[in-house]
Amino acid sequence: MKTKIFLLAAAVVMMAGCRMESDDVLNYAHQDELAFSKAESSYAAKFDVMWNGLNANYALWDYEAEHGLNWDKVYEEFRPRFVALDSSKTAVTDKQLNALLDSVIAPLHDGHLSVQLKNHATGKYVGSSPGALRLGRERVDEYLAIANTELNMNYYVKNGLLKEYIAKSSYTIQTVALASLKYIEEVVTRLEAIPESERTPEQNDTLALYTPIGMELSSALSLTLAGENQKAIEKYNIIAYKYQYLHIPYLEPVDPLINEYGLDITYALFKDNIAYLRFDGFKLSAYLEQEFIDLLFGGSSDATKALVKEVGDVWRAWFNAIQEHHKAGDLKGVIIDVRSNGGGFLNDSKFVLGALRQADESGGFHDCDARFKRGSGRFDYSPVMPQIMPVLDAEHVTVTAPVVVLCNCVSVSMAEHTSYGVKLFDNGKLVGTRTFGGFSALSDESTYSNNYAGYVGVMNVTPVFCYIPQEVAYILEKNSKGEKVVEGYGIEPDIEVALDAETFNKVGTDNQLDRALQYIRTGN
Amino acid sequence: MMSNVNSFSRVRRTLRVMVVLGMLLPGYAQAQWRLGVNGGGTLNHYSINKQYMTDYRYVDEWGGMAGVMTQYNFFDWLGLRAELNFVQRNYRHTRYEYADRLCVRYENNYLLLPVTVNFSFGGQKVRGFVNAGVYGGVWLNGKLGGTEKNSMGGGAIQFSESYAFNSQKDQRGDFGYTGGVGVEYRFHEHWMAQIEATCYYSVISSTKQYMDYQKDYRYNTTFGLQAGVAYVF
Repeated sequence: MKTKIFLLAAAVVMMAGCRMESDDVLNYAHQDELAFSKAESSYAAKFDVMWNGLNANYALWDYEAEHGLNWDKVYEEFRPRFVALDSSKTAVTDKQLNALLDSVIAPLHDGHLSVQLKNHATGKYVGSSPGALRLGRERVDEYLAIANTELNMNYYVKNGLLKEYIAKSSYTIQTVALASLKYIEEVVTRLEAIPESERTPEQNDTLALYTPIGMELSSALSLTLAGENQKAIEKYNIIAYKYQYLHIPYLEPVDPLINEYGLDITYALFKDNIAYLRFDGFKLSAYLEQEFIDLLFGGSSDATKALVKEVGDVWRAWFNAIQEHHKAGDLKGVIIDVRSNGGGFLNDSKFVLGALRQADESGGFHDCDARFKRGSGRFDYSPVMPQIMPVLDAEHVTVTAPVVVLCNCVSVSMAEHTSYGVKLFDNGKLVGTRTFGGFSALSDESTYSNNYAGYVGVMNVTPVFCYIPQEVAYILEKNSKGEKVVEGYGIEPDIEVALDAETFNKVGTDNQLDRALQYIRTGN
Repeated sequence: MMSNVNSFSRVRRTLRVMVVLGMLLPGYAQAQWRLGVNGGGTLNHYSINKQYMTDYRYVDEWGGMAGVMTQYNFFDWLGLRAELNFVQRNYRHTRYEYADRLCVRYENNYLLLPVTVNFSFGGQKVRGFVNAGVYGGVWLNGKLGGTEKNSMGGGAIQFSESYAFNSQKDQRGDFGYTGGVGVEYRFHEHWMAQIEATCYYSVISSTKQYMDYQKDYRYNTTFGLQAGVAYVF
C-alpha cells in the first residue's frame, strides 16, 4: 500500500511546473515614465516602444500578414539599424531618423496611423504616416493637382448659374487678422500720401503706431501659413489685447476654440434646384449640436457666438432648401462635396447623409462593420460588429432625388464613410476619384479603455507617439479587389472623373462637379 | 518553436515515468475488462495573463461532457483505463464595470482521450477509486455569443456565431494531465455504476506562440463531474 501511495505521489509531483509563464507587456498608452524612460535617450529603445506598442494596439495585423508583412521580421531587420544609431559617432540628424522611421512603417495599410519619434540629439520630433507616404508614392500627380487648386464656385456665381449661394469661413485667425491688417494698410497708405509737413501730430502718431502693428500682424499671419495656428492665435491675441485701446476695427481677440474647430462651408442652389453643400471637415456638430455649442463656445464673446450661428446658418440653408423643394416636388438632386475633406466627428453623419434618410431598424443606418483590437496579442480581436451611423433626430424628408457625393484622393475618414454611405442609397452615386484609404475611425485618448487599444504615448510629450485606430472598419460588400478592408486603398467611385486642374485654374469650371450635375440631370 | 520543443519534452518525460511505473508492477493474477459510457458536467477555468487590462474578467463556465470508457483490471486494485470523451471547455469574457458592453461566452468543444492508471480500494460492491494519467485531444470547434457594443457607434447587440479558427494563432491539439476520484457500485455480476470527479489540466497553450518576441500562454483547466455505467466482462 505504501508503495502504491508513493508511486501515485511521484506521478503528481511530475505534473507540477509544466505550464509556461507569459511575458509581461507594458502599457504604452499614457505618459508613463517606466514605459518610456529608456526611449528618452536611446534610438533602439524608441524602436522597442514603437514596435511593441504597435504589436499590441494595431488592429490590422491579420490583414497585413495576408499581404505579406511579417512584423517579427520587421523587428529583426530594423532594430539593428536603430541600435547602430545609438553607437553613431556623429549626432543623428532629423532627416536620418525620419528616413528610417519611414522605412519601418511604410508597408502598413492603416490610413490614419501616424508615428512620431523624438530625436534626442536635436530635441525635435520627426513624424511619418504610411497613408501620406503611400499618397506620395502612388498618387502624387493627382495630389499635386488638387493641392495647387483652390476649389470654389466663382465660375458658377459669375455666370448666373445659381439661385442661392452662401459661403462662410470660421477660420477666424485668418479672416480677422487679414481684415484688421487690411484696415491698417489702408490707413497707413492714406497717411503716407500726405506730405510730412502737412500731417497733423495725431496723424503722425497714428502712422508711427500703425506701421509696427501692421508688421506684427503680418508676422502672426505668416505662422498660419506654416500651419502653426495655435502659435498664430497666441501671437495675434497678444497684439489685440496690447492695442485694444486704439479701437482698431476687426482687431479683437480670437477664441482659440473657434479656430480649432474652424470650418469652410459653402451652400449653393442651382437654378434647377440641385442643392449643393461643400465643407472642408466634419466639424458641423460644433456649430449645429446645441450641447457642443454650449460646451465649446458657452463662454465665448458675442462675436464668436455670432460667427458660430452664421456658419450653422449655411448648413441650415442647404437643409431647408432640400425640405422645401422635396415637398414642392421639384428637388432635382443633392450634391455633397467632400473633396479634400479630412474627416472629423462621427456625429456629423446626422447632418450629412443622415439628413437625407430615415433611421432603419438599427436606430441609425448601418454603413459598415467594425472589429476592435482587444488584447495584447497581435491577433486578439473582438467579434465583428455592425457600426451604426446616426440619423438626424429632427423631422426631415427622405430624399428620393439623386444624391451624389464628390470625392478625391484626399477625402479621408468621415469623408470616406460619406463616400461609401452614398453607394448604399438606392438613389446614390459616388463621383470623383478613389478616396484616401483611412476608413477605420479614430478615437479620443479618453476612450482608450473602451478596448484597451488605440494609442502609444502622448503627442509632443513622450519620446514615442503612435496615433492608431482601435478598430478596423469593413465595407459591407467586397470591392473590385475582392476585399472588404479598404485601408490604404480607399472607396472606389461609381463614376471616375479626375479633376482637370488646368482648366479649373484658367477658366474656373469644375469638371468633377459638372459630371455630378450631368448625372443628376440626365441619369447618365 | 521553443515552447513546442518544451511541450514535447514534457510528453516524453511523462511517458517515461509511466513506463517505469508499469515495469514496477508484479505479474497479474486476475484480469477483467469493462466497457461503459459516461456523461456529466464540466466547469472550465481559462488561465490567461490579462496584462494591463485590469478590469477584464475571464469567468469560469459550465459545460457538458460525454463519452465511452474501457478499463482493463490487472488486479482488483489496479487497472488501466482509456476513455474517449466529448468535453466542453467554456469560459466567459466580461468586465467588472461594463458587463452591459462586453459579456461574451466562448464555447469550445474538444475530443479528449485520457489514459489513466486506476487505483481502487474498498469492498466487493462499493469501491472508491483514483485515476491518474495523461490525455491527448483535439479542439473540434467553437462558438461565441453574448453582448457586445461597438464603442464607435451603435447600442449593445446580442450575437451568436461560430468561432473562426485562425491556423496561425489557435492550437488544434491539446495534451495534459488528468486525474479523478470516484466511487463505483457493483449492482450486478456484470454491471456497475460509478460517479467520478475529474480534472483535465492542459499543459499545451490553447494559442500557438506565433509571436517571436512575445510569449503568450493560455491554458484550460477543466473540472468534471460524471456518472456512468459499465458492463464487466
